Amino acid sequence: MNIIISNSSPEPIYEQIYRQIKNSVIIGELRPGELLPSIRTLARELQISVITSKRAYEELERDGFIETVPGKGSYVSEQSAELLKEKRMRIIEEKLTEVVDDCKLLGINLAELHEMLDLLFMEV
Amino acid sequence: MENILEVNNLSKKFKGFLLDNVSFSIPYGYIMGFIGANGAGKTTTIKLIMDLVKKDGGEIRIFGRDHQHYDREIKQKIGFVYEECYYYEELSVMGMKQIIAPFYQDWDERIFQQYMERFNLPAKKKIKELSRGMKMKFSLAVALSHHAGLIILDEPTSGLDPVFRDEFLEILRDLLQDESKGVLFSTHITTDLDKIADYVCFIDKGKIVFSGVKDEILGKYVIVKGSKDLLTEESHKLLIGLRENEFGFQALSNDAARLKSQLGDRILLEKADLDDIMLYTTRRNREDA
Amino acid sequence: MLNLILKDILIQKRTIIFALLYGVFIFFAFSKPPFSQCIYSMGAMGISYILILTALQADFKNNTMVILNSLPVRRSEIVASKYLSMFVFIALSLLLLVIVGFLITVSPLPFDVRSLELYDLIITLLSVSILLSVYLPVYFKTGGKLVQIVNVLFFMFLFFIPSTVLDYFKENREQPVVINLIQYFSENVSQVYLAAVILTFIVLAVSFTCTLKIYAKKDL
Repeated sequence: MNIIISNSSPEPIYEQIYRQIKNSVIIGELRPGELLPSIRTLARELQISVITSKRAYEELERDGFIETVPGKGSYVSEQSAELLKEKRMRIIEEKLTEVVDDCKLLGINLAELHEMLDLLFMEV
Repeated sequence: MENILEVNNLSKKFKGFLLDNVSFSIPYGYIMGFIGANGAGKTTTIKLIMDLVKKDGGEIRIFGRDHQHYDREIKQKIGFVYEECYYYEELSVMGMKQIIAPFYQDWDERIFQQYMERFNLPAKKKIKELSRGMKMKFSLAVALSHHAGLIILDEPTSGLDPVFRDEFLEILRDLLQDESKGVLFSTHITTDLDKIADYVCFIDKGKIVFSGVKDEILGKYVIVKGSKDLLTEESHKLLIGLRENEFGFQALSNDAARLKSQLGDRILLEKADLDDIMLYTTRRNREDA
Repeated sequence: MLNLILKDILIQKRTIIFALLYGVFIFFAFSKPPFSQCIYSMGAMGISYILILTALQADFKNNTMVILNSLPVRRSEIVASKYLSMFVFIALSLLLLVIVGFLITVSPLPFDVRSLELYDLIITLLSVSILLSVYLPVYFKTGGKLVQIVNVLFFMFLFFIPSTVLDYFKENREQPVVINLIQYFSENVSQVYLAAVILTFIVLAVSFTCTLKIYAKKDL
């Protein structure tokens, strides 16, 4: 997992961490159930205050991306697989909408689109 | 959350200086930066905590216990580094250690030797032949070699090069991986604290100006810059430590929202760091006086 | 507490050698009567005083009280250790003198040194105690600032008093007061010694209490 902090950015540091971890979870870099570094380790490595890293984790937990087990640490939550899927579905939907729009512009009909998809599914 | 150090309504009167109603606390597992100009009362406060100077009023609790009643037990667990390292100049480094170590029940010679090596401290050299930096490193090695819970640092890095200051901060970060420790770090070099402090407490002329979570405090304040014609009576109230020059003004503010609604987009807002907050607030206090 | 006394010894290893030489000097300088009577007490007084003072000076010059009081040590212990160290240093100095005296006796040098007597110990104890009982409260009150002056005064005292007292006794040996006094002393030796020891402890106790009170309130 890579987290890069900018001290000069107007975005608060805890938000930067929140955003980057959330992204990692969504794109699947962090798997559900994976153990995250402790708040203190994170603070030490990034050279920030413990309170900052704590806040980032608290927000991630509030939004369902991670779960904290007292005494053990913080894990990427299983639920987030659902969120992941949802987001990916949405991205695919958006991309497909674009494709459909382009097809309509170029005059490609549904049957031709189907053919292209079949070929692609077989190749990849 | 329990506090490793609690200071309540501490007061002390000297000729020409009054420490007035000082209160702050540090929870276990965190580091508090104690900032202020020279002479603001930082060292006096620390001396009061260590009972080197006798308080006039107030209460100090360390590890939950009164600092005077349980002074010996508490000091077993305090590691200290002062700005001036007063040791027996004629003794060698090892000789000085041999005098200090027996006082601590939990003295750990192995850890001390590790620091001696890490800091490159010459065991046989006399204290008077050491540079200021070396003396400070020796103090630090001693402070960290008896399993102390609370580390009190008074201007430990002034006069030291940035390379060692960085290593110093790294040592503190490693130390705070243990949630049962705490650090009070008094300094006027706020850039060190910008990086490492969890809490910050600002003292000026014997009074606490503010005390709280560093990130929250930094988030509250902004630097405001703009042209002088924008200054109205209304806006004056929101500006701290206003300074005007030939080409415009600059000030600190803790209410960026209202300022923006009053003066709109014609002002420039910038992030304030601890130095800025300290400077502008001090300037405001001097002017008010 | 022992740590504190040990510290006072450790910081002046060089001074102890000087003290040894001082002891030798004393034996040479005062080998003839009437001074040979006071030889051990003057020597021991001088050495203990040097040792105690050097320790106090070291603390004062280096400003180590700040560090010491930050260690897990009570102020009362710091004060107590100074008073206790007096006994330690008296014992140490008498020991040094006995050793030097013994070495001189067995050496081919042309004179002998008498052995240690009880009254040497008593006189040393009494005089050093009185000196320190004044010195220590002043030291703890002023943080060592006035002590330079006190130093000089006391060293003058050290050589001045015994010779003056002895001279007085010599010149007035015909006086009835002096004769009675000497008679009383020779007949009631043990009582005189006991009185001296009790006096010593009373003086020390008063001084100790004062110093404790002074130091308890002091801002460092």
